[in-house]
Amino acid sequence: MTSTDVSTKFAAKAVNATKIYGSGETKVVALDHIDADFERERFTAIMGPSGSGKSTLMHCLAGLDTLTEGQVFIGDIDLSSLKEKQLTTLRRDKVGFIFQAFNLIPTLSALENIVLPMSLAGRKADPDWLDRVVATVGLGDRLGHRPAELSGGQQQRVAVSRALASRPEIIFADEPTGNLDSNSGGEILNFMRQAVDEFRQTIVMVTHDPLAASIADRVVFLVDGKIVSEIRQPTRDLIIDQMKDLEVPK
Amino acid sequence: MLRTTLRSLWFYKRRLLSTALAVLLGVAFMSGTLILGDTLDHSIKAVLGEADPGVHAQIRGPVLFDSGFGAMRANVPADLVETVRDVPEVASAYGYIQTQSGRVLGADGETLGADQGPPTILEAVIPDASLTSYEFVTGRTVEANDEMILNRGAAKNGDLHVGDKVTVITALGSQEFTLVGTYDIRGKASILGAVVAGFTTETAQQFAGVTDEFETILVHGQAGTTPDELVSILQHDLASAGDFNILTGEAAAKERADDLSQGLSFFTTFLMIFAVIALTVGAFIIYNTFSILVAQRSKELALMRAIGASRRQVLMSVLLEASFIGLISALVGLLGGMGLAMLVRQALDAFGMELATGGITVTTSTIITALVAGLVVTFFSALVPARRATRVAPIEAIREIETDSSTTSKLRGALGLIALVLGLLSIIPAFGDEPDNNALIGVGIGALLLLLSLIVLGPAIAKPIAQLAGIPLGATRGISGQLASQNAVRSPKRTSSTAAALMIGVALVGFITIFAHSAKFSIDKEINRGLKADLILSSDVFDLGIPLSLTDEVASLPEVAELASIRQTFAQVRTSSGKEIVTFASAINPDNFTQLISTKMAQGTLSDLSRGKIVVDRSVARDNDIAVGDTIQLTFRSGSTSKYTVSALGDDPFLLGMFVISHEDWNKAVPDATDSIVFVKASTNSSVSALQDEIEDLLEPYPMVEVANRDQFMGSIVAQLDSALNILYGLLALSVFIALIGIANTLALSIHERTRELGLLRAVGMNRSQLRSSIRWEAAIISIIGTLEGLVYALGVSYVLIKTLSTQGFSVYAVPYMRLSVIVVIFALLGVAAAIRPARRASKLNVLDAIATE
Repeated sequence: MTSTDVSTKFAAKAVNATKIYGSGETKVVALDHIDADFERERFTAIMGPSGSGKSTLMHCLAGLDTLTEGQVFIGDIDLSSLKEKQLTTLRRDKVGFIFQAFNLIPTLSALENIVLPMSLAGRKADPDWLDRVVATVGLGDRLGHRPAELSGGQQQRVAVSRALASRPEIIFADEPTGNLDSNSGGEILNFMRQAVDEFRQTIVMVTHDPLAASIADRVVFLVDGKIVSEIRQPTRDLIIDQMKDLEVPK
Repeated sequence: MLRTTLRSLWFYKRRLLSTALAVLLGVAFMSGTLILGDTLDHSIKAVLGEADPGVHAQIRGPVLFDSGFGAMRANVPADLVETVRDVPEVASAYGYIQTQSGRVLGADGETLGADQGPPTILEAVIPDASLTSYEFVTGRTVEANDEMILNRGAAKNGDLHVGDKVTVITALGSQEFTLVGTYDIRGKASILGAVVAGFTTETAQQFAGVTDEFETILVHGQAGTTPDELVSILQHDLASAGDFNILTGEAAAKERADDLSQGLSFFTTFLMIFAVIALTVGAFIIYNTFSILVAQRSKELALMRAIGASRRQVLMSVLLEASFIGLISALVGLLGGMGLAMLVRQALDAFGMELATGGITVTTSTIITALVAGLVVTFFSALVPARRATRVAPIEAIREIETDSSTTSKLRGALGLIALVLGLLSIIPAFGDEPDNNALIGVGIGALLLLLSLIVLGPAIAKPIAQLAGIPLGATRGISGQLASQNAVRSPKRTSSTAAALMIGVALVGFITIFAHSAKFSIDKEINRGLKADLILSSDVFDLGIPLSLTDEVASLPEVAELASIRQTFAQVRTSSGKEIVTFASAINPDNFTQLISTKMAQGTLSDLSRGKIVVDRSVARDNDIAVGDTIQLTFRSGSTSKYTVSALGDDPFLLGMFVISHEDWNKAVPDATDSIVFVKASTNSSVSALQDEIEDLLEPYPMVEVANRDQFMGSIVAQLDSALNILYGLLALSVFIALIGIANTLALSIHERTRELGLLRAVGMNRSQLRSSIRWEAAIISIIGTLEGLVYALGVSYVLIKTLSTQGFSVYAVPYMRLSVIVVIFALLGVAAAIRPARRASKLNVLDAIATE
């Protein structure tokens, strides 16, 4: 199902999102009262130095982690109002994931990995859509292979296909090119761009790589759990300059 | 999910192999036992369940009591036969009697048939062929009182031929008969290996010690009368003659078969206990394996959850895997059980059992039981790990998983303490003054509870022991030792559940060893205290004692200063309050008995035991509310019933027995009496060994009677205990083997888990042999923990049990230190041996592959 629901402009939203680990002396504020919106049919990147909270923000948006304070929304669904079972169903039907590594179930073939969310739901994939996705990422002849028989780049392509195959409301990608060489990485980024442009998907990607972030429509910068700035229509140079500023010790 | 499950199974098949093996072995043992029982049953029914076709009806006396091997009935009077013959529908009727207190000697002078198992039957040959099924192979039937016939199988085994003079030993002593014929029964040379010798009715009656009685009357009806009709006619016509039990020949045969089956079922029940123990140990292994597998697949399971698999889907997946393994292993185990049963069957045949059927009997219920057992054990053992799998948070797909270093949750600790306290409370009655049967039950329950508490509190115990072990290990073995100890310490739950499997093995083996050792000492102490005799005569054969005539011969030897004998058989005792028990009764002559045995008495003396009086063991008296002065009634197999007054209470269960009357009374009640044990004292001016030689000469014609001096006598008792112990060891061996598989399994899996870490160690400079040594030491620590726990448990429980039995003759608690040490060392070494292969595989890891991130 494509995101044509125009009643909510944002595919995902964080409102006063706060995440605190530990207490007393070991207290760590990972997210510090963040407000953030992520538009539909757009590619948004989240960047920041290590420990900035960018991964935490994404995990909370995706329903993988819970906030200490505040709310997150997927569409107009408040995740904190959902029980564990409903959260699971949400992840299965409305959210797509691409991780940096270990994206695939090692015992299943590429094709089986791609249709996994739908198998879990007991549904069959739309064959035309499936063909299109597979053709787009160029996996045609590797569908029967296991992850162990695929290169890193091919594995990530399978992960992208899986994220696309169930036509979720939003796709979260956590450093998807982190483990790849520049060629494969570039390929993956192109597929993701294609997904937004051609298939009208919404993607939120966490990355530390300026080149990867330059593919996005908008880059949001996090430092110490707060959003400090953003760039629309970013270029690589703009991003690098911004990051240099961020890393000036205060 | 089904496809994911099946795929997982195949992928991880190597790791699941040991789980499968554990279930397989347990199920094989269980199904083997069931199949063996069914095969024996089938044999018995096929062979004994067939009646002689001409016997349409049988007339028997009323039931006296139930011996556990069938009902003991009173005999029928001989003159009843005439009354039966007068009934018009009766074509032919004869009285029949047999005894099993006898042995036939072969041509070589040795007894025919086995000492235990298939009986020797000396029976009356009925002169009417319509009532028998002898198929004569050679010769003819008996015509005179000094003639006998024998089944072909027995004749062959004893190398006896028609015309030979054959020795038969009974309560009457040794007699010779001429063999006039050999026969088959329904086409078989022998029935289940039994020796069946036929004599004239008069001779058979003499053997049984009766004159005008028969065991049963066999009736052949006129043509046109069915057996059922015959039975009701006889019941009607004989109603006034007395209280008789009349049934068809078929029904009687079926009853015989059922009685024997029932007797054998104790044997299969006994084996089943060990099968259950094996399966329980297997359950541990499964629990362990699945715990580790779940932990290893955390990332994968987290990914599934992240993508949207529900908890239930994950739970089902793991349980489905477990169920598949359970089912398949059970199937293979069933096949294994069939093989086992076949092997045992061959062995039984070799020992002379000669079972009727060619193969083994596999019933549907056995198949179902085996499959269900395998399935249930696997399913429930995997349940807790499976539920743990569902608690994997999706976030962990991204993060590193930490090993569970907790020892116990509050709930677990509480449960363990409750079990511990309850267990200790249950065994308190054992320490009272007069521990009785209730105390014994308390000990049983307490033992189980204490075992449970040891298992539940295991991690809390394992952690400090592993830490302690780290001190000497670190000092002597350097980094290898340190790592070994740390690894054991950091996952105490896993360490302790692996050790638990070994603990159960050590506990069981240790317990029976200590108990048997103590028993030997107790018996030795009692016998040495009380036995004043120089020589002891006994019979090898269960149901035939020493003929009284033989005892007289021995008594008349000039070198014999004093001689006493004990007679034993089972009887039913009825107390004054109406309580009935079937037990062993014995008889002595108090005049000479007290010269040769010094017995402990609780109340009264043995020497005033005379006619009409009885001495009761004090524990038995306490358990059945019997006091000195009470009147109790004894009923013997012969049908004789008499009352006795309790004159004293004995405190010597080994040497005196539970219910003792005088020889005078015995001879009236037991017509075919023999001596069970004869005690002899040599005169002061003759040597014991010379007397022993002389007595052995007298015993030559009686191959089943043995004479032993005090040392030899003790030796034979010890030997019996030892062989019983060895059988128990053998039965427990399977459980121990499964436990060892468990240790190897756990080690292999946890090494796989630590691949990265081990690779790092190797990269940084640990060499192969240091790595191997570290793994072996870890296995050693686990072994030591399990062995120590098992040892402490065995020592404690055996102590408590012996204390409880102290009033029943177990006065000594003796620990066989040497043997226990050997057991402990063997178990510890076996635990380490289980680590050899995993250790070697770990050391062969390619370092770079190991530390690669994905």
